[in-house]
Amino acid sequence: MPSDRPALGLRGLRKTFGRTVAVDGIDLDIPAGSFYGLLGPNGAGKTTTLSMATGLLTPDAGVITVNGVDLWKNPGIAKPMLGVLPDGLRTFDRLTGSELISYAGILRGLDPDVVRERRDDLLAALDLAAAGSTLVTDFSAGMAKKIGLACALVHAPSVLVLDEPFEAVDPVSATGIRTILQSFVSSGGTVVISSHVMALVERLCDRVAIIAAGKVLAEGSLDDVRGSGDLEARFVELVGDTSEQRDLTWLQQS
Amino acid sequence: MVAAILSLRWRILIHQFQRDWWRLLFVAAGGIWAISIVPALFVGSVALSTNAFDIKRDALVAVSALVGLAWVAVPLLATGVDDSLDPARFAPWGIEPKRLMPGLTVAAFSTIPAIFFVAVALTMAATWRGEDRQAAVLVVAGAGAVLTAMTWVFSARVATLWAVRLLATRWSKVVMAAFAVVVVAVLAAAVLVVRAEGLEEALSNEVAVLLTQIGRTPIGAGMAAPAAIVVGNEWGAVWRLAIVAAWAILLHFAWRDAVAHVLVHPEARGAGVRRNRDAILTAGQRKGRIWSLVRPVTRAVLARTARSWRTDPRYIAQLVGALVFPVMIGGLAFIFAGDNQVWMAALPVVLGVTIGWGRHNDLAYDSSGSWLDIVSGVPGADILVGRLLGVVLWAGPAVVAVSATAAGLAGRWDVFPAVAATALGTLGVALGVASVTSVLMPYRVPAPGESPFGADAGSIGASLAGQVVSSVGTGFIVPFIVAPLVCAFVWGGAWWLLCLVWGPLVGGAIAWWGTSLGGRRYDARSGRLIGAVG
Repeated sequence: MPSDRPALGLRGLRKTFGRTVAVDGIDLDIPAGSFYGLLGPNGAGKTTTLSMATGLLTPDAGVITVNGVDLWKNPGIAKPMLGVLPDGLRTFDRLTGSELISYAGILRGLDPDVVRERRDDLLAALDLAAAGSTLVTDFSAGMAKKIGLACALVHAPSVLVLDEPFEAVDPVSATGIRTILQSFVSSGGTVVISSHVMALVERLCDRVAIIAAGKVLAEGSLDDVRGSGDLEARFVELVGDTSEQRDLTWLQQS
Repeated sequence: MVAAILSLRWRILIHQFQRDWWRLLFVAAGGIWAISIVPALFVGSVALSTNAFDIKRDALVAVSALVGLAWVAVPLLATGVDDSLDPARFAPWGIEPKRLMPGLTVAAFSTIPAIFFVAVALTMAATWRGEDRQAAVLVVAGAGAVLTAMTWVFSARVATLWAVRLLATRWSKVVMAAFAVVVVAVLAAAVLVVRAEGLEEALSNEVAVLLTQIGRTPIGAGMAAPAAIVVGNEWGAVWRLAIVAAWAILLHFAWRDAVAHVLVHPEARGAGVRRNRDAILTAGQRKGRIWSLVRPVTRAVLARTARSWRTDPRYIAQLVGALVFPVMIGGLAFIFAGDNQVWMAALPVVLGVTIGWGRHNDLAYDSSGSWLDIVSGVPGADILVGRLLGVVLWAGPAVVAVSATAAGLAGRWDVFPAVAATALGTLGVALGVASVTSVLMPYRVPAPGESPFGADAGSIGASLAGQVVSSVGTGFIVPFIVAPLVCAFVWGGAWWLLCLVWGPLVGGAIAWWGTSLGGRRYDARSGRLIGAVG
């Protein structure tokens, strides 16, 4: 039976960089067992929010709880419950794909024999078997994304926080990843993803939040947020078409 | 394009100073230091100008060769040179090298070191005043000085870009081993000559011949050309200036070629290496009493750090710098001071300090890859101990080997254990202090795959701050480690035995203290570290 406590709770989250307010008082409750989509335009504060929610960035104000445990007060209890895939950060690229998964497993305190078994399972499931002996520095962007996902999964966390998990991933691999994540959620796990791809979010997520300028503009079940139209129309309606509409005639080829 | 590139550099600097105004203080300090050297240069030039022409020629050729060597060696051995105009950054824009080069060339001469050394070269040229046919001599001297300064600046650029290219290949270790052999062979040859003849004889024989020959090569010909005019050999001046000019043109072509390569090979990668053995898992499964003392997480960090020291060009460049600089200085000290026992004892001790001190920004080399350590909730102390052991793995044997070499050269095998123990102690102390500063005062370094010889334009001031603090911290503690060794040399007796225990004990204690304190600060600052180093 699902717990009343949110799998991931954000209360009054705020972060500024100099005079720029990146996150401006975000409150979100992400229920356990949900597939949650965090949407927003570029610069909306999604990555900053997820960085604070996973212990990578100290918030200026606010509280983050993982299954009721305060992440920043009790990181030793909260962090093991999280699996994290950040976007745009580097990794230890002199390790092979296999070694990077092993490293993540050992950091999480797993026994080496368990790590070996899960490492091989993940390499096969994510279609990375051939890449296991290749240095991460030689990986394509999509392979790097998949190996990062494997690192997030290796310790079987209860909450997965994935920043743009499908970016640069080929359609075949994306299908495999979707299957893994949907199976994880159906078994009681919680997945939080950020994405710009509305069709993907509509296909996967049961709850969504749309944020812009560091604030939550809409939050709820997918049907509640998108209403009678599609999610993209609702997104544009909420965020507003901020780009100046100029006719780039000089770009026309004929 | 020239204006665009200069404007770009200027904009980057302005934005950086607007963000962190205090960095201006460090730039100002550097400028003041450079200006403060000018009177000394002028006095030296005046003093040298009164000497006979052949003494002037040899002295100027020697200075020119040493400065030229420094222009090549310093960017390679001391990482952290401003790389805001690294040609790799222009790769996405599809600009032809021939359009890029004029701007890069002007920019290369508009840096503080380039302006300073052009001034140095012209001051050297002014040494030729007072000779007969002064006008002709000074024109040749001026032309020779400018051409020589051009070769300094161009050779630094070529050396750096070639080294980046080399480090990304499978042959890097072979070439570096060959380079090390050449350095050691040259030092050994110099030592043998000085020991056989004495310093004064060597200076007046071999060194004089060597300088005459260097004066016939592009390295010193620009400085030797005025001497040819003095003795009425105009052709001698012409061909000397011609070979320096040809060398400068050749270097510029080589630079352009290297830039053209970088523009289509933007990142150093793994040279297609494949590894079937999982070193991380193997480290986690190690059995035995010693390994049982090291936590599995620390072993994993140690394994990945050891891999970086072996294969990551950024680490290899640091390793070469950490070893070559002290060995070169030790070799020179040996040449000039002979097998004086104090020098021989000091060398390994200094090596231990410099290797440890050089790690004062160690954590930054993890770059934003640290996210995996941070989200995993691993205690900071485990990370720092793993990284420290990764250094000890190569630095410990290096310090012991240099101690043994120094003891052998001095003919004092009896002091070897005490010197080696003290040197290991200084290594431990410096690494302990570095563990704290690398957490408290990290600054950006080249990210994985970037040129190992560059630095983020904005990190220059921060790097100075970190270096000053780690220098003060290390300098404060090292005398306590070295004191028993000094006492042993003065009074002997039980002091020698004390050294055996004191160095490893205090070095180990400070290393432990540093990783513990640094680890606690790491845990407290984990939410800010990525922003500081990523």
